[in-house]
Amino acid sequence: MAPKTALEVLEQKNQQAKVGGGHDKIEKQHASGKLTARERIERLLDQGTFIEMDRLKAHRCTDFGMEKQKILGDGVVTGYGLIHGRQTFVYAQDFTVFGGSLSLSHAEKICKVMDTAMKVGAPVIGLCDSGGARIQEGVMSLAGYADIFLRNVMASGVIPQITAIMGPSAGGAVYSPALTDWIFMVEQTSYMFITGPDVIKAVTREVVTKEALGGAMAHNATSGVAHFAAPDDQTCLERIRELMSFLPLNNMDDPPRQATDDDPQRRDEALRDVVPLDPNKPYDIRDIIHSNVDNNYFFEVHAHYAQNIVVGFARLEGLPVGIIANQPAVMAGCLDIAASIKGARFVRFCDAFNIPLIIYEDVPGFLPGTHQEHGGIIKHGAKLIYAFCEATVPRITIITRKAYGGAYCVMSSRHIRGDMVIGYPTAEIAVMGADGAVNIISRNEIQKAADPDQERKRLVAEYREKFANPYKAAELGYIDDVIDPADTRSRIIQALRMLKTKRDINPAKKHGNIPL
Amino acid sequence: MKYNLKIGEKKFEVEVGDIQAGLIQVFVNGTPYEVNMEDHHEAVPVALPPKPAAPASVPRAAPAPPKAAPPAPRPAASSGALTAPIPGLILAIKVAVGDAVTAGQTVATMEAMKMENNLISHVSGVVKEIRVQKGAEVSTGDIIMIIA
Repeated sequence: MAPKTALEVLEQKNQQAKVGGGHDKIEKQHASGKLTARERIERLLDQGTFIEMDRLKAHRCTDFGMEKQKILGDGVVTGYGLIHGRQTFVYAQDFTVFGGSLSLSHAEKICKVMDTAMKVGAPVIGLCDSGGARIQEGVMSLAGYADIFLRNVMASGVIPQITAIMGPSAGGAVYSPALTDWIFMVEQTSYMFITGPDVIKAVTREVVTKEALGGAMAHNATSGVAHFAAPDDQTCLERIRELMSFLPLNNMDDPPRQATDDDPQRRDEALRDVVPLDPNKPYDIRDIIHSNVDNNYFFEVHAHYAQNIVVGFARLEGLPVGIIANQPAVMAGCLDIAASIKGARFVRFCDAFNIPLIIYEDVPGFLPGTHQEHGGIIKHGAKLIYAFCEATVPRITIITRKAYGGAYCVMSSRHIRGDMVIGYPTAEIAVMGADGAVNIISRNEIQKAADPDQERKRLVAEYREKFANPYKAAELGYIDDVIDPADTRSRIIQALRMLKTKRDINPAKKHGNIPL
Repeated sequence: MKYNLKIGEKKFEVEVGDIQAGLIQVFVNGTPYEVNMEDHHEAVPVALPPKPAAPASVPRAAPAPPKAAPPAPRPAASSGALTAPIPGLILAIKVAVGDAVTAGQTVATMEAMKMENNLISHVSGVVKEIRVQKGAEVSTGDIIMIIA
């Protein structure tokens, strides 16, 4: 047989790299409802734009006979390409190669992609599908994890980092995703946990399934670790593409404008009736959000967790905005521990990446109770205050109804550098609701009255007249205007235009000390 | 996890639901029980539902006597137990035992934070049991009804 030409050798190596762990394993991957690493990248990026890096890289382990088992690529496909025509870096772990386990070489490939992404200022998307550390490599594999953690942290707030869990992610492997900005999970095929059901059973005798412990919904709805749940790989990748359409490439970049034919002056008189006249009745704040934003399109994120606060992205005049809204339809829209953490994280993400914030406020206050107090609502609620105080992006607040007590201060009030605060005529800006206030202020008067009930009713009505409205706050200049709800869209857009060149800074410091 | 057990001639379908704070929700032939996992390895039923179909059919693996005071029920999110998301007062129960409900349906309302709150079923199924009545005070995590 004639010796192979140089080109033939190259071709053979490329072929080897392409099949990863081999056709059997690829079939197995498909049978379990998962796409392969290469198929995932193909669907994530604009067609034909993927350029692979380190395709021929292999591991260097010589223990346990590993020197005889080398697979080019070493269990992770890395490189760069485009999403909506914009530069993106990507790595996808290949479960068909050593179960996607992380060797030092595997980690080095991920680190190289991250380092390059930092140099050029472009996002990194990680698609995780890995059995964990490459045990044969011992501490070298652990070094690999730590190298990635460091880069995740250095890149935090500089480039957007997105992780999709598309298979197992256990032990140390969970912390790189946790350090990134957004976590997607695929239902039924993905799970994340520090220790799995077997270890839990051995140590605590607690019996739990993988799905109940760390499946997509466990982390989307219960722990709040993940922000998106998708029914399958394809949908997951499509949603990552959509999220990317709202994000700038880095912290010096502006979020991408998308052309729109939605009239900035569009009025919606239906908004006059969304907030019920009875302050005890709930309504869905998303009805107002949908009406206000371009083409009524709101991309909700973290939708399954702490539903008493709604966060997500939308566009106004084509420009991305971050929306954070109290949700009166769930738990009266109160602020509790979970809602405070969810809100604070979202505010900080938007602030880091120059995305203006629109705040919809209808909040009866913080949730009372030992459960909350002992859970640390004081420090967790403080996170939301901290995040808003620190945020220098344009911030516009719409008070639709209740703005009571400490929660009034928190939700981007003017006092904590909110740029514009607008009230609906239904707004009630007060230290607390009328009933509670009267019970405290006029306790003696009520007791002494001939008809205490009648007196209480009179005083409540008086208080409501005096304070349960936006006009006292407007008199003081704490809110900038009271508007016809039909005009909300145009009023937000006008404020955003005015704030376009906003510059604000925080004092120079090593870093603040957000109450963790 | 579902198990099909046969003890003597009797068949039991046992479904083990979520575990929260040591309490496990177990369905035996469709009847819900709360089981407390204690350190001595054995399961102890601590809260029998108001209408146990056949108390004798409690699995044999539970030999210890029931505890006197049942602890407050804990949320069992994915097992069809609808729990109070917030402390408050039940204003209305909008369904009856045996009613079919669909996911997203408002099955009860409660007053909390001086507001009316709709309690929405996250699963479709049949109302197996209603544990609280109109006017009841509930705390976070209290089971309001079981839908399975």
